[in-house]
Amino acid sequence: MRNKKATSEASSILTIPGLQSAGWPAFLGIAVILIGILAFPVAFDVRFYFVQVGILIMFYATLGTAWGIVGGYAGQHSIGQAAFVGIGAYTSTLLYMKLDISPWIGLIAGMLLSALIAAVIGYPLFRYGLKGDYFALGTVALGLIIFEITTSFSTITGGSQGIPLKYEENPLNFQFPNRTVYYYIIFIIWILTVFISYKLRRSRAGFEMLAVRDDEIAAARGGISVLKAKLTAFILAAVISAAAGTFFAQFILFLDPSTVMSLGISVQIILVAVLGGMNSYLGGTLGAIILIPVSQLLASTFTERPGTDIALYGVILIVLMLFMPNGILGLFRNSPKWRKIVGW
Amino acid sequence: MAQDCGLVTMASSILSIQNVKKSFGGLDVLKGINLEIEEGKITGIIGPNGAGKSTLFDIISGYQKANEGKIIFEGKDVSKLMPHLLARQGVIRTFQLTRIFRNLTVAENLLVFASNSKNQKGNSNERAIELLEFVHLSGLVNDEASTLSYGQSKLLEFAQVLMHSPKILLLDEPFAGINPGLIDQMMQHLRKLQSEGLTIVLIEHNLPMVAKLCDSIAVVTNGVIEMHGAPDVIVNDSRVKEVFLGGH
Ligand SMILES: Nc1ncnc2c1ncn2[C@@H]1O[C@H](COP(=O)(O)OP(=O)(O)OP(=O)(O)O)[C@@H](O)[C@H]1O
Ligand SMILES: [Mg+2]
Repeated sequence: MRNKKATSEASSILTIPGLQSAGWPAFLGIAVILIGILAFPVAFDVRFYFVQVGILIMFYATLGTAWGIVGGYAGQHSIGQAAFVGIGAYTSTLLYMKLDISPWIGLIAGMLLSALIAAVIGYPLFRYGLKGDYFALGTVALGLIIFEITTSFSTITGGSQGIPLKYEENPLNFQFPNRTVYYYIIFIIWILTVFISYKLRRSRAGFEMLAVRDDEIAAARGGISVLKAKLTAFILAAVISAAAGTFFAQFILFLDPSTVMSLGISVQIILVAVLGGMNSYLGGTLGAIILIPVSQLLASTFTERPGTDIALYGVILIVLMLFMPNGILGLFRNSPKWRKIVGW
Repeated sequence: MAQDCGLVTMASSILSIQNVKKSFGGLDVLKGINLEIEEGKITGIIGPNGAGKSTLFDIISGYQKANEGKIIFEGKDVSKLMPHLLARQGVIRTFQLTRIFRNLTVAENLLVFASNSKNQKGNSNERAIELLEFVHLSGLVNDEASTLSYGQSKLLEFAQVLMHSPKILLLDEPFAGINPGLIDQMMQHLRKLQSEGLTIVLIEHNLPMVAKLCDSIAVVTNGVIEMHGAPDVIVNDSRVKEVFLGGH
């Protein structure tokens, strides 16, 4: 049965070649890398600081990969993506703090609320906006508005002072005595996101996003609903970002607007995706692996001049856009073999 | 206003263009187009540059909205439908300036068109292989479409629209830039599709070619259908000769 399916897939030119066609070395490589990542916090007696950097890398890898779905696959450059991280973080945190609802349920609630907000904002922007620029501007506005709302409704949200999360050590509360557990939770979120992105690229829905990115008019001529493709991408990216947001709030146990939804975070997310290669399901991950350690270093170097790191990101982003618009993995796209692996 | 030069019967029209008007700013491009497209026939549309032929295609396929008038497809008013919905109904077009997905591979370009049609028939994979064979692109299946030549892009677009199993195919100058041998094959292919029931409308400047392929020809000038009739009648009309064979 399995075999039959495999051969019929191989002989179909209407299937996008995936990892399986890259053969066992690819799978071996993936297995080694995954085992390495899983073993890292326990196998070597690493300082928790490095585990924490690992958590940050996977957190941004998740956000960068999610951004790749809307910005890379669908070609819609969402600039205020951190708004959804904030929505996720605040939804679960407020439900937990005010109503004692488990952050696990809050996680789902945040994802749903993000989906709703993405749909409500995305629909008019995609439906009536003339071109992608309107969408980009709209998402900047969204980011600022959500930031302002959170800051000004301080009686509920704690405003710019933030809210410390109450600590009640209990897995049901998304809180664990052993902080290494967070490493594995974000690992799961990250690997799921990469898997979704990989599968999406090979599915009809993802495929429609790519067609829309390339040429909206031609996509419509092929029977594709341009609105639906863009909206699906935007909502999917928002939902994943919200999940990451809930995770982050639980991890640091403190929440204020600038920690989860500053423009700097939005820029960082885009930078991660663009550097790695936003059209590849691995782009966000590669970007995060390179950029997060660098940014940690920058932030600690320029502690007395806050904002320097963000300004520097801006410069890196512009240089990238100009000279390597397809990111690092984009360099592999012209090799058919590598294209299968990086999933261009 | 249109002169009926025999042959055209109203009996089985699949597409009916009724009093379609379109202006851009102060420029009245279409001033009341009336045209019946007969089911299962190949209809040619000719007319000088800038006559509004492509604009008429844009209106039929939903990319532009007419200022006035109606488009009736299979008895239903489709004037307000979005392009992708018209495509799903089986109204499929090519563009004068070829549109393919440049960052996707040749195979992926076909995949877009392999479904999303209410009119799907047969195995789409076999169909794709056949079509690629036909347009000589089989060897380039996994190449990025941006690497194709102009003519190859055009052929890919031709294969794409056939992937979709349209009910009515609107071709905007399909032969421009294609080598003559292949044009003959494309014409044969279109005839074959016609024999399977497909309705085809094509815009073409090469008069002998239109005359050879089409069952009827409509002439667009000054924003209206000046004439619509059998190829031999149209080709021999003095006014058509004047416009097309440089009689002025
Ligand atoms: N979107 C638009 N905005 C303004 N003017 C337009 C637009 N589209 C077409 N036109 C004008 O409408 C007229 C008809 O254009 P159209 O492309 O339909 O002509 P055509 O008959 O297809 O010509 P050709 O044989 O050269 O392809 C031209 O004068 C063109 O400049
Ligand atoms: Mg034209």
